Amino acid sequence: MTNSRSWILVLWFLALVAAGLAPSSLTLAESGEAPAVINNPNPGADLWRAVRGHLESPAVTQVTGFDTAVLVNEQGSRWTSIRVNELVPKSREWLIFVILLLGLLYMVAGPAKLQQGESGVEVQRHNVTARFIHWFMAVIFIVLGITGLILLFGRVALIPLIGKEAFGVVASLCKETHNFVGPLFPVAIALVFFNLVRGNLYERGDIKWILKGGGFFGTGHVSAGKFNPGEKILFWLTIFLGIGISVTGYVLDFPAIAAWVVSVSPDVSQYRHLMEFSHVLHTIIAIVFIALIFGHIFLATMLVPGTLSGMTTGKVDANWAKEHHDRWYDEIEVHSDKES
Amino acid sequence: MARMKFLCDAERCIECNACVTACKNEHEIPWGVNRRRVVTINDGEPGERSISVACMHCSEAPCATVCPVDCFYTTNDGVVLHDKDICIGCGYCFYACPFGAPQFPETGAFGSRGKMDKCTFCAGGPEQANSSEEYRKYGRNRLAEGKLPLCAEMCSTKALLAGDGDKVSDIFRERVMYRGAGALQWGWGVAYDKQGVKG
Ligand code: HEM
Ligand code: SF4
Ligand code: SF4
Repeated sequence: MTNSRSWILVLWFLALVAAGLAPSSLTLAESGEAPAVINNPNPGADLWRAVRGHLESPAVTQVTGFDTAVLVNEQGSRWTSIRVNELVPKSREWLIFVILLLGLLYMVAGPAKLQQGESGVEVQRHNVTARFIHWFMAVIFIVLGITGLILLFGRVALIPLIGKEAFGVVASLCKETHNFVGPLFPVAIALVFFNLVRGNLYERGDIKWILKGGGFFGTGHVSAGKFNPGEKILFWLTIFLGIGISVTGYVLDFPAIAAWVVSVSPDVSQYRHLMEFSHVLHTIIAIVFIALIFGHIFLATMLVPGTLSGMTTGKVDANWAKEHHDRWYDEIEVHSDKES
Repeated sequence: MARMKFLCDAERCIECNACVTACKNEHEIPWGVNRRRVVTINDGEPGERSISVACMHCSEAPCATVCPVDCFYTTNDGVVLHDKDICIGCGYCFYACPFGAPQFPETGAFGSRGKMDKCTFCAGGPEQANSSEEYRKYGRNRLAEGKLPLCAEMCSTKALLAGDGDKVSDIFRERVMYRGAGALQWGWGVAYDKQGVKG
């Protein structure tokens, strides 16, 4: 037994040595005469490989248009399957999951009541410009979100209820609205960025706020400036998701962009491949974005009462400001002292 | 029931584009839309081959699977048709189709494409067969008149075959028996004929 095992070890060692020597023997072979290549023409196989685009064979057609010289679009079925079997059912599950999670959060953490109650004194939080910009973006977002989700879920959710003819009208309206309102979204993103970026940069104390979980759990509020780190994360995610959804949206909306990319990029061979890619990315970003905004609306209206008025009338209760944004409150107090 | 199929014999097609023209004329297809096209591989070189392609009327059609408004249907003859009254022109069927069959009258900004148009196997659409409404939207309904698609009927070399799948296969099988498929088989090009042509 032990004997045969040591033999195996010896053989193993020899094999290793042989492997180590192999490159030098290869170079020897290379310096010698090259082996004759057997030319095995297989016109049938070559033709069908070329048809599937696996050979660099130039294909031409008299018909102009997108990808007309391509015989087979091999990615189409994969994209179809991603949309029908992944995006539609998983988006639905993810959105339901987020809503349940927020409900759970509400039950555990409850609405954040002010310890001192309302003071009855109001302080100015958001000026008219900021409020206008916020609602400009919000309206566009809600319109795009609803029309987009109807396009995504309509076939499974609405056709069984209202039938194909009626849904065709609804879907057409949604598509046109989405396609024409969509290009405004980056405008809203840019306005929000320039309006709010100053309050959303990193400040001392932000890490502490995050480590304490924003003061949701346990008692006592955590010190924060005009925007707490949670709001800052919302701000930056909005900017980046907004850029991503706008870029992919513009590609889907303006075929000239994809046609241009295909003409300049050697990595994209077919117009529709870029459209498929943009579509998948657009939908994933949309679903993440919608979930984020669900969270935002839930926090601003239900979990932290007193927040919404800052965006409607522009004013908040002084005690709300003191407890949730103490450092900002101190700042505006100093200012108003100076003014008076 | 017949299962309608197209077959393009790449050994015969000579890229004359008669099928493309016949189709456009028969259905009065608008400018810019081509339900059928001919693609040539290795144009002008030895081994050049041409293939005429349009909607293949797939069994499990990806276009029908992905359409967000579910406007496709398959006839008893296995022809894949769609309803232009329901279509919203989203273009998804074009992204899904393996053969680039769906066509759009516009390629404008803001995703405006107009209603999708594609080969109907000369079988019209959901409207009353051979009504003017059907003709305006989908072209002539030759199947309802007992005729087969005009592209194949026009084909001068009979490269393009259209009709009951079994009959189409029979015709093609006969051709293969006559001309032999030897050159297309592995090793034959080396063993028996270096040119890879019949031998
Ligand atoms: C708030 C942001 C947005 C959300 C939540 C959103 C959501 C969606 C969703 C869910 C779809 C449907 C995907 C499907 O049916 O498979 C979609 C499609 C689309 N979106 Fe957006 N989107 C947003 C912004 C934009 C923007 C900024 C643009 C353009 C600039 C845009 C252009 C498009 C286009 C062209 C389509 C394809 C629709 C069609 O032609 O049928 N979207 N979007
Ligand atoms: S349009 Fe394309 S996917 Fe649909 S049946 Fe025709 S060939 Fe198949
Ligand atoms: S373009 Fe029309 S037929 Fe094609 S997937 Fe969209 S709605 Fe359906």
